[in-house]
This record gives sequence, structure tokens and C-alpha cells, in this order.
Amino acid sequence: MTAWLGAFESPETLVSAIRSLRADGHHVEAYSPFPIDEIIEVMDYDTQSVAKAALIAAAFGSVLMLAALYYTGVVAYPLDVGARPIFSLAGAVCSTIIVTILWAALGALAAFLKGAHLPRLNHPVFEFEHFESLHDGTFFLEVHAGSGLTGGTLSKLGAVWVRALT
Amino acid sequence: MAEPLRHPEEAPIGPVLRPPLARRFGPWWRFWFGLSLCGLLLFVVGLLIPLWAGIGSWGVGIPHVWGFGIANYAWWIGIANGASLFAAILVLRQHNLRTAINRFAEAIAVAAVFAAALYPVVHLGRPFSSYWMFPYPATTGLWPQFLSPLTWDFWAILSHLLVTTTFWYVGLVPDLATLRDKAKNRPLKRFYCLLALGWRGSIRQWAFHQRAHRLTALTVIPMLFVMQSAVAFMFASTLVPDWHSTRQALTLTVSAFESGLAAILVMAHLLRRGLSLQGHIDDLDIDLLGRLLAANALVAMYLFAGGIFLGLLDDPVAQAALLDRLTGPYSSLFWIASLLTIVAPLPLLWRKVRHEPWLAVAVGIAVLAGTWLERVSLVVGGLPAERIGLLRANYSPTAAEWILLLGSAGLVLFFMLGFARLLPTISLYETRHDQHAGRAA
Amino acid sequence: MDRTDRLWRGLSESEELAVQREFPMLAEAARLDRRLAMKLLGASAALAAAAACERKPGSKPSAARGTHFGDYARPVTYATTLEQSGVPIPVLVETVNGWPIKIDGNPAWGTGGSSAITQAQLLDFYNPLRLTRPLLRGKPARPAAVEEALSRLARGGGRGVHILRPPTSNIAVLRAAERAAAALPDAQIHEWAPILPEAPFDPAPGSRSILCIGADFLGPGPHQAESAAAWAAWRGGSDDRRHRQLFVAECVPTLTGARADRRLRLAPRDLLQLAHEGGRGALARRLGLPDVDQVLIGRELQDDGAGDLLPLVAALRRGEVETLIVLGGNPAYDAPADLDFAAAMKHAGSVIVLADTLNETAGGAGMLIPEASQLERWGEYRRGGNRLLSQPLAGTKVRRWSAEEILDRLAGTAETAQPAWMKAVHEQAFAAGGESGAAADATETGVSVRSDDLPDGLILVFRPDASVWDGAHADNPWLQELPDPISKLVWGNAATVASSTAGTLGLENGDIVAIESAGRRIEAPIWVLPGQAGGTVALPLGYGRAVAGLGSDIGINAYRLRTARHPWYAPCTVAKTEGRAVPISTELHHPLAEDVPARRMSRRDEAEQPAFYRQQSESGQHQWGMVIDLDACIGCSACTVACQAENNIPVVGPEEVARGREMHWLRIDRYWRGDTDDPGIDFMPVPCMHCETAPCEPVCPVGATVHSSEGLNQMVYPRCIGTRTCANNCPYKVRRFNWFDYQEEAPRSEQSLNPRVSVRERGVMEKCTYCVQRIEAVHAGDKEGPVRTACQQACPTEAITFGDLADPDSDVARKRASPRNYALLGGLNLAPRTTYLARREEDGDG
Repeated sequence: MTAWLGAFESPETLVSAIRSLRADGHHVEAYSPFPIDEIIEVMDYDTQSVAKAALIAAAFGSVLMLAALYYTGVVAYPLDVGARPIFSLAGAVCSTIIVTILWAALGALAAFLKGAHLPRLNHPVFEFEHFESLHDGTFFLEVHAGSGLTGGTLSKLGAVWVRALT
Repeated sequence: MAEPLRHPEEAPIGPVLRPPLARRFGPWWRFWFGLSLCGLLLFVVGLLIPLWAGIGSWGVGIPHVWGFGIANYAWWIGIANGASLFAAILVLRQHNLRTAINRFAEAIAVAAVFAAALYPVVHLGRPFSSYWMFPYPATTGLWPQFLSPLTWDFWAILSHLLVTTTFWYVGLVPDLATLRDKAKNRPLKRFYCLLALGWRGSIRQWAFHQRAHRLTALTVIPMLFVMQSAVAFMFASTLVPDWHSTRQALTLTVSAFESGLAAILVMAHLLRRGLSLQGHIDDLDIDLLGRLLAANALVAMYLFAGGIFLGLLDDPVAQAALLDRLTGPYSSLFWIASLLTIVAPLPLLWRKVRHEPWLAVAVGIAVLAGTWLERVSLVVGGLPAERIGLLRANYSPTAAEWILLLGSAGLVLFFMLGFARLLPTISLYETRHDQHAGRAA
Repeated sequence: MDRTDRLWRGLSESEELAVQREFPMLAEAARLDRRLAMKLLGASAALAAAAACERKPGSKPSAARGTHFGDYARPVTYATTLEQSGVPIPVLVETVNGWPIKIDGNPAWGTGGSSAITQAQLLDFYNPLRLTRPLLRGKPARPAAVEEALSRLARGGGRGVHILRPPTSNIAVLRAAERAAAALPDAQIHEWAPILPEAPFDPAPGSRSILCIGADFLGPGPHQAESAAAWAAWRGGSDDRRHRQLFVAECVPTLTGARADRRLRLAPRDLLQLAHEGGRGALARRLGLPDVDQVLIGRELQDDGAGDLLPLVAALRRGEVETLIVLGGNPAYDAPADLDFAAAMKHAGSVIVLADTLNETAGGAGMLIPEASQLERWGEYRRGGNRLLSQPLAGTKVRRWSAEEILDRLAGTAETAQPAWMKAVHEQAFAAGGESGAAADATETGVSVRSDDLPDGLILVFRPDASVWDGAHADNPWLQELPDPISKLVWGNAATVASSTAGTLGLENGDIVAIESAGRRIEAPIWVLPGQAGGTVALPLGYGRAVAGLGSDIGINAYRLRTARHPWYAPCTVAKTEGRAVPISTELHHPLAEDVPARRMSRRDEAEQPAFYRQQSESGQHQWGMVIDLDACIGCSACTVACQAENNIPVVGPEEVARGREMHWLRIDRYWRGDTDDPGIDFMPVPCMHCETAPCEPVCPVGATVHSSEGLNQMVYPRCIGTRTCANNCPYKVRRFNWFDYQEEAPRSEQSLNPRVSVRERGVMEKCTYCVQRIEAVHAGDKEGPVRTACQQACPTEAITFGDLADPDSDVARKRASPRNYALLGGLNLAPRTTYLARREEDGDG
């Protein structure tokens, strides 16, 4: 047995349960059908990484674009095109901005997938056949077994029922 | 034994969840779906005619080398831009206001981008070589020509497609998980399962999801401005006197937003009636949409007046070009377009009109038609006509171009009907979230 | 410069029907026969099939398509002579592997320029409908059958034999005719042509002012190139300050009238009277004409007799003709209508026709003999006091006959047409020593003017056509698609009227009217032509042919109204009908956003104007440039056809031209100047400007159009994906697009293509390249310099100058430094390499 899974009826009871368990130093994982701002605050994940990734990706994308423009226009195959300069920053502005934004969005997507540990099509919690009730409004709390934690603990915290996960 | 706690049919998400899970839809939907299949067929035919016979099967010639092809492209991409903007704004706003309708707003955007994206390829003389616009190391050693506004437009479309789809998809993932778990149909379940990527709904996932959803919405907004400007630059960076104006980007962007909002307004009313979603697309949303559209029309009015005023003060060549546009053979397009895009939405300033569904839909359709006419007036009416004595109209669209236009509308209809059939048209998790936040407040 | 002159290209909007304006597609679809498109397609199928029959022994196809560079053979140029309406024209023909690919004038005989018709005659050689075997009563026969028939006639003594031939200056034919006449004493030989060419322009020495009464010497005709060169020389070069004056009196605007220093628009009756007075009588004084040094009178005002056709037709109708032999020409089509030659032909016992394709006359033939092409014959022509020689450039397995061969057969001789002087074939001309008795080219010593008594009322004016001449070239697609220099009509003709006449009769462009003259009636569409005299209806000849390959059923047959008594001016009545069919005109195509594109400059301004051009010299490279002298351009459009021939430009057909999709890389814009009713005319050839800061180049997303180090704007066909944004950005509208697969749909015989120029596929943009293939050929040592573009080479007045701007001594550099030099749309600062020299204008009206 690796973890206890408790079902809660309301987000408020879930929040208080999480708070007390974390105060006791337990590692918890919670599931809900919609994002609950209080819990997200409590859990305190490093979501800044998404913004950081987007920024880094954007910087990389813009440098890459400008470098590509320089390379193709000046180094690889310079051509006299209407006597225009072979590398022109003014002409680069539009496509560079666009590509920068694209990289930012893709960076954000990548960071989201990484942070959310997706895609992961199998997970122990899916073994539990009633996990689907998540979508009907059930909130779940998963806590790793050990250090004196029992199913009763969760019940005392407000779980409607408790299961053991292997 | 543990039991499921709540009954799945309960509000608030019931009405939204029911359609994708339904075994079959009613006769109305099947009728419209059949119609959209005909439209899709027209689309395929419209694509094949120029591919087979040559671009000469369109009514284009010298000097009107671009006709419906580019006008329709600009129209669809404008709708996509406006719809994306609205969706992004909704996502970025305060939590206690309804944001759930961004789902179908963005769906309109995605559908319109698909309809738009094929046009720049099909209107080419040699479409099978269109991949040369993408920079790849070729055996010829040649690269795309980056000074060209068409190259900027290529990146703009690519970027728009990917960013819009990313934004939409990130928002969809949790709902795809819901459908995955609820669906009974095995192939459909597999489809949802793959797309949902194994979403569990853990807080960790929610935290990152919220951040990413807002961030992608944040990237969408500047992208729309730059993207629509890139479309405008295709015109503004030429020597054509009527097009060569710094106001072009502004005018096109504003009318793009207007067309997107109008599309959403029409769609919102249709969904309310068709899928009985009055509870979800409520009066506040409709009100917001209506007010935004009216505000946009006021901006368009300012630009219209400013454009004419400044155009008449411009140098003689530009002045003459403006007069061509206002009084020449295609002037009727311009004036009707202005009427429909500026005057028609103004009644939406009155609350009564905003909440009257048929009036609002009529205004929405009028704006859509007006922006289309405006694009056609730009592409066709803007080109130089004879300066001395005679203005000659020598562009008129052929059947092939009409077929492609109707076909593209059919494609969008097909996509939207498919969307309504397979995916929740309103964001499920956000509905729940808003309800929870509303109760807490 | 007269700043109050405005330039315009077509009549105002109100004169066009709303339907035509709003729904041009519908209007055109209603008018144009779908059969025509089918015919073009069918001709292409026949082209492909028939071209295969024509093979020179041992020749290989030339390398225009594909990359068969291994087969490439250097082109070889031969000198020969073509004959048009009996006038010999010395030409140089470039051939590849024995196949002629380009015809140009011979510079040994003038400027080396040519006319549009001369340029286009190349296609006659490749006409897929050329007869390949004799036809006997409609069925193919062996060549021996022809020889038998001719020998039989030769033995007959000539009773009942009538021979009809067109006028010729071919000495072999003339001699053979003499011999035949001697051998067949009872035979009669008639000579007839529907249109006799205008005499060449030959200013008397020292004449400084010339009055031209209806003599359109700059207009279409065999002497056009020669006359234009003589006129340009008489008028003086670009630096020349001699004061020359040309007065032109005419009733229909012509190219000569366009270049007149003073043009008088007169009704035909006044023209005749002026001609009767010799240009120096009461009428001349009333019109304000000064005393001039020389007066030229046009051919149509002269009494040149009705020709020999009357006695022939009379003999036919009396049943005296047992054998009628027609040696070329097409009398069943172009004979005077009152003679009804086609019906008269039926009275002959048997008819033998010599023709190169099936035509109206050939249709009535019992025996049809295929005629040898002019490029396949030996010949000796008389031109003034000189002789011109022609040699065969292409042998063929197909047995064809020439007129002199047939006459020789009739004379009983068995000679083949290879005279003893073929040793002199490398010298094109030699002095005509010892040849006496032959009449020289008729020079105007004394002309007798017609005494037509023209009543009041509408006069029908017959005109030769700039494209098809008298109808002989109706099956030539280049000429059908070539816009008429004045009216810019293509693929057909129209009855032109003055605006005043149109107003009186309530007519608009495209209204179909019924024209009745001498009891005959035809229907024709109306086209309003500024500058035409009121009370006249002008109808170009040569259209409306029934049997002319792809030229069938195009336009209106004016010959149906033309009688022997009134071949040029006939009284007529016009009645409006319900029908409408707007003729196709390119006058409004390719508009420029410029008020005065074609400029004129008075001599005083020219003296005062400083020249701003600064010589530029790059690092020893050539910098190509072109200067077009509008003072020398007469609008003849030879350059347009030359460019089409040189660069393998496809023909697109009437429907596509109606949509503005004609493919001519070099177009001649015609501007009316000033008054709507009687304007002046300016011509402006517009090739690619090769702008140094070309606006078309940076907008191409794949870089298919770039700039060369020698200053050429290059169009890279394999790279073009067809966005057409370069065409949008070209303010001169010189770019052409392959909207359909034009080359596939109306293919040319592969041997006729220029192997140095690639054939463009569908979806690719093309434009004038300054004949880059010629530049590169000279660079590569494949061709002798100096580089001459096709248009420059073809221009009879040397209006186009092309060369190296970096060389300060070159003609083009010197012309660019002229005060008359200006750039079209100069305000855009595109620095075009092609500039113009403003037309000189005397202080007064042009």
C-alpha cells in the first residue's frame, strides 16, 4: 500500500485538510474538477517557470530569426533585390516580432506540459475505478502512507470515504 | 463500497456536457450538418478548379491580380483575429466574471484560420511550390526573400495558426479529460484520451495550467495586432496609391476585430437557442459582446472620417486614388461596407437592441457582410484605374471564386458543427470555477 | 510643353453600356463564339499532328523546350527576300537546324527594320493547315497527277485557258509568264489584287514641306519599313535641327496623320477635290495650307483602273473559260462584290488553284496545288533599279509548287526553278546591268485622281488592315492578336465612326448596325474613333473570312460591300439594329497613374532645357539601358511582334485578351491628345523599365525577381510560384502572367521556337528581359556583338536605342544626356533604365 485516497464533498473541507496535513509535514496530492485558488496558493508550486520558459523561448526565437535573416541575406546567398540593403533591421521587425511571440507561446506550452508532468496516460490513481467521479464534483486527496498516517486520519479531516491505493 | 457522490446530470455543467455525450443529435443538426457537407464539397471543388485549370479560371487579370482570393483570405483572418482577441480578453479578466464562453469564441477563431490559411496557397500560380516560402536548406541554395511582406504574412499565418491552436488546446485539456471519462463510445473515448494527455486534475496540474492558459492568452493579444498588420503591410508596402498608406494597418485591424466580435455575437445567440445554453451564455455576456461591438463601430467611424479627411489632404496621387475608391466603379462596395460596419452596429448602444436576439444577429450578419465588402473594396477597388477620363472595371468574380467562398463558409460551418457535436462549447471547468467563486464571494 | 493638353486613352464611361461595365464577363460570353475557342484548340491538335509530317531530312528538333542542350546548334542567319503584295522585302532569317525562327530586315537595305507583318510571316511557314499534298476534287492526289494535268494543258495550245495571278515583281514569274503566253497563244493571263500598296515615301531632294493627301506611307503595307526609315531620315535625327513639315489630309486617323505637324480632317469628297487640285488650289487655300514643296497623293485616291478582273469575269459568265488557273491570291474572297467571283468560278470548266492553305478560292477548285512557302523558293525580284534574291532556307520532303514552276510547265519547259545565277546567292543584290525593257517601280510622275462622284450622306471608307492587310494574314495568330495601332482592336474589326456621327445616329461602342451600300447589306459593330471625319463609316478589309484556319469567322467581311466601281469610297446607309457585340480593344488595358505619360517638347524648350543626367560608370561592367525616342516612333508595332517572335511569347486568344491578359511584353500605348473630337495621337512603346530600385523585386516572397550586376531586372522562371505581387507593385504594368497553360493550349511547332529562350509554364510571371539571351550570347561569344534587342532591331525608324550606359560614347548614353530625355513616372524615383525622349512638337498644334 502506497497511499491513502480520500474523497471530499466540498472544496472548503479539502482546503483545511490539506493545510493540516501539510502542517504535519506530509506530502499530499489533491485532485479537483476545477482550479481552486486557495489550494493553489497553499501548495505553492513554482509556476513562474512557465513565464520564464516563455521569456527564454522568446529571446531565443528572436535571436534565431535575426540570425537566420542575417545568414540568408548576407552570408549564404546575397542578392541585389531592388538595391535594398541585404540585411535591414526595419524589414526584419515584422517577422521577428511574430516569430518571437510564436516561440513564447510554444515555450509556455512546453513549460506547462513539463510542469504538469504531461503526457502521462497511466497513473496509479486511474486504477481506482471511481476516480471518474472527479468530474461529478468530487474532490480527492492523496497522501503517502507512513509516519503514522491511517485512513482514520483522513476521515477525521472530513473525508467522506477513504481507500487505500497500491 | 465507495459510490459516486454526485449525479452527473445536475447543473451547472449538465446542459453543456450533454451534447458531446449524446448518442445522436436531432434533425435540425443533421440538416445543417448535411448542408455543411455540401459546403465542404464545394470547398474541395473550389480548390480543385484553379489547381486543375489554372488561376485564369478566376476573374483576375492585369491590373487586378488579386481578387476574391486575397479579399476572402483577409476577411476570414480578420474574423479569426477578432474572435481570438475576445477570447483572450475573457481569459485575462478578473475571476469573478464569466469567462467560460472563451471556448467557442476561440473555436470560431480556429475554424476561420483554417478557412483562411488555404487561400494564400490556392491563389498561387504554382501552389505546389509554395513550401519555398519556408526557410529550409534547399539544393538550390536559395532562401525565402525576407524583405517581402508576403514572407511576413507567411510567418504571421503560421504563427497565428499555432498560437491560436495552442491557446485553444490548453484551455480544452481539462474538459477533454472530462469527456474521456464520461464517453461511452469507444473510438471517441480513445480520441479524447489521446488528446487529454492523461490529465488527472491534480492541483499541480491546475496550477501550471492556469498559468499557461493566461500566458498564452497574453501572447495572443500582441500577436493579433502584429499579424493583422502583416496582412495590411501586404497592401501598404506596395506602390499602389490607394494602398500605400500608414493607416492601412489600423483600419484593417479595427475592422478585423469588429468582424470577429460580430461572428461571436451571432454564434452566441445561435448556441443559446440551439443548445439551450441560456444559463451559460447569459445576458451579461451578450451585453458585453454588444457593447464591445458598438464601441468598435465607433472607433471604425473615427477611422473612416479620419481616413477620408486625411486622404483628401494628401498628395494629388493619393488624393486621386481615394476619390477613385469613393466614386469609381467599385465605390458602391465601399459605401455599403461603411454603412454596414459603422452605422449598423450603432443601435447596439441601446440595451433593448442588445438583448433582442434577432436584432443582434441581424447586426452581426450585417457587420460580417460589411467587413467582407470592405475587403473586396480594398483589394479590387484600390487598384489603379484609368486616371484620365475613364474608370474601367475589369474585374468580376467568376463562378470558381464564388464556389470557393461558399465552400470556405461551408468548411467553417462544418468545423463549428463538429465542434458543437464533439466538444463542450462552454468551458466546463471554468463554469464550475466561476460558480464556486461566485458562491464564495 | 502645352500643359493644357490632356492625354486620354478611351472614350468616357457614359459611352459604354452599363452591362458591359458591370458584367464584362457576361457581355463577352454572349458575344464571343465558343466555337472559336474550340477552333483554337482544334488547331492546336492539328498543329501537333501536322507538324510531324514536315520534316527536313536529317534535322532534329531545336532545344527550346526541355534541356536537350546536347542538340543545340548555333543559329545561322540567311539573307533572302519575302514578297508582300508584289513588293519584295529584303530580310535576314535566323535558322536553327534548318528551321527558321526569326525574320528581320536586312540592314544592307536600310535600317534593318521591318514591319509587323514581315515579323509575323514566320508563322506562315509553320501554319499547321498548310497543304501537304495536291487535292483532286477534294481527295488527296499524287504529285504526278499535277504534272500530268499541267502537261496536258501545255499541249492544248491554251484555248479557253485563263490564268489569274497577283501582281509580282518576281522576275522568274514574269519571264515564265511570258514564256507561257508564247507557248499558249490562246491563253489569257490576268493580273489582279484587291489592294495595291502605297508607294514608298521618297522625298524629293531639298523638299522641306510635304503635303500628304490620303497617302498613308507610315501605315501598313509592304513599303512601311522602307518609308518609315526614309521619313525618319528626312525628318532628321535626334540632334538634327532641320525644320521639316508634314501636312496630312485624311478622313480616317492613320499613322501618318499621327506624325503630321498639321493634320487636316476632311470628308472624302474634300479629299478628292484637294487631290484634283494637286494640293495647291482653292480648297488648299481655304484650309490654310501653305505652298509645299511636294504633294503626295494616296493610292485610294488614284484611278488605278479596275484591274483585269472584269474581262475575266465576263469571260467566265459567257462560258468561255474551260480552265481557270488561279496562281495565288484569294479572289473568291476579296474580288469586288458586284462581280461575285465565287459564283462566276463555277462557270469554268475546271479550276486549278495554287494556294498554301485551304481558302475560299481553293474551296471551289477542282485541283488544288499546294504552294511553296516564300522561305522555300529561289527567286529574283526587281526593286527599282536593283535585284533582290531569295533562297530556300528549309528543304522539305513535301512536294510543293511555285507560280513560276506552274507557268514553266504550261510553257512546256521542264526546268526546275534554279536559275543560273544561284552562284550569286551570297550577294544579295547587284546592279541591274543589261536588263532592259522591264518597267521600274512606278514612281509618281503623274497620277490621275479618281473621279468619284460622292453624293451627300454617309460614305463608307474601305481601309486595309494593319494586321491582316487584305485578308491574307487572317490565319496568323500573332497578327490577329496584335492591337491595331490606332484603334487597339484585336481579333476582329469594327465599323469606325466619328463621335459626331455616332451622336447623330445614336450609336455607342458595340452597337451592331446594318450597313447598306449598292444594294448589299452587312452587319457590323460600331467603334467610335476620335479623329475620324464626320459622315464617314470606315471598315477595315480582310476579316470575316469563311475558310481561314483559326481566322475563320473573325470580324466582318467588308469585301461584301466593295464594288469595282467604288473600291475605296462608297455611298452607304447605316441603320441601328438590336444587337450588341463590343469589339475587343486593349486601349484601356494596363493603365498608368500618370497624367501625361507621353510628353512633347517644343524646340524652344529643348534648347533651353538643361540635361540633368549624370554619367554613371561601374567597375568596368556593362550597364544596359534603353532610350526610346517618341519623336521617331510611328506606332507600327513591329517591335511588339518582333519581341513575340524572339521570346516565344504565347498567343492567348480573344477571350483572354478581353480580360486584359494579353501577353505582349512590349506594348504600344496610344494616347489621344487634346480635343475629344479631333485629337492628336501619341504612341509610347512600354517595355520593362528595369528600374534600378525596382519595386517589383523586394515584394517577391521567394526571390524570383532580382537584379543583375549589369542592371537587368531578372525574372527567374523556375523560382516563381505565382503570387503576382510583383505585378501589383509594378507601376508601369509591364509584367505578364501565365494565367493558363497558354503554351500547351495553343502550342507552336517546337521547331519554330527560339532555342535560346525558355518556354514558361502555367503560373509563372514573365516580362521584357532586355533580350538577355542575346546579351548572354554575345558575352559567351556565341553571337557577334554589339548587342541588339529584338525590338531595337525591328524598329524601322531606329526609335529604340539599346546599349551600354557605362560607355560614354555609346548611342544610348548620348541620347540619355539629351534635354528631351525623361523617365516615365519619374516622380516615383525608381531610376528606370528605360527612358524616353519627348516628341518634338512645333509651336502650334500637333
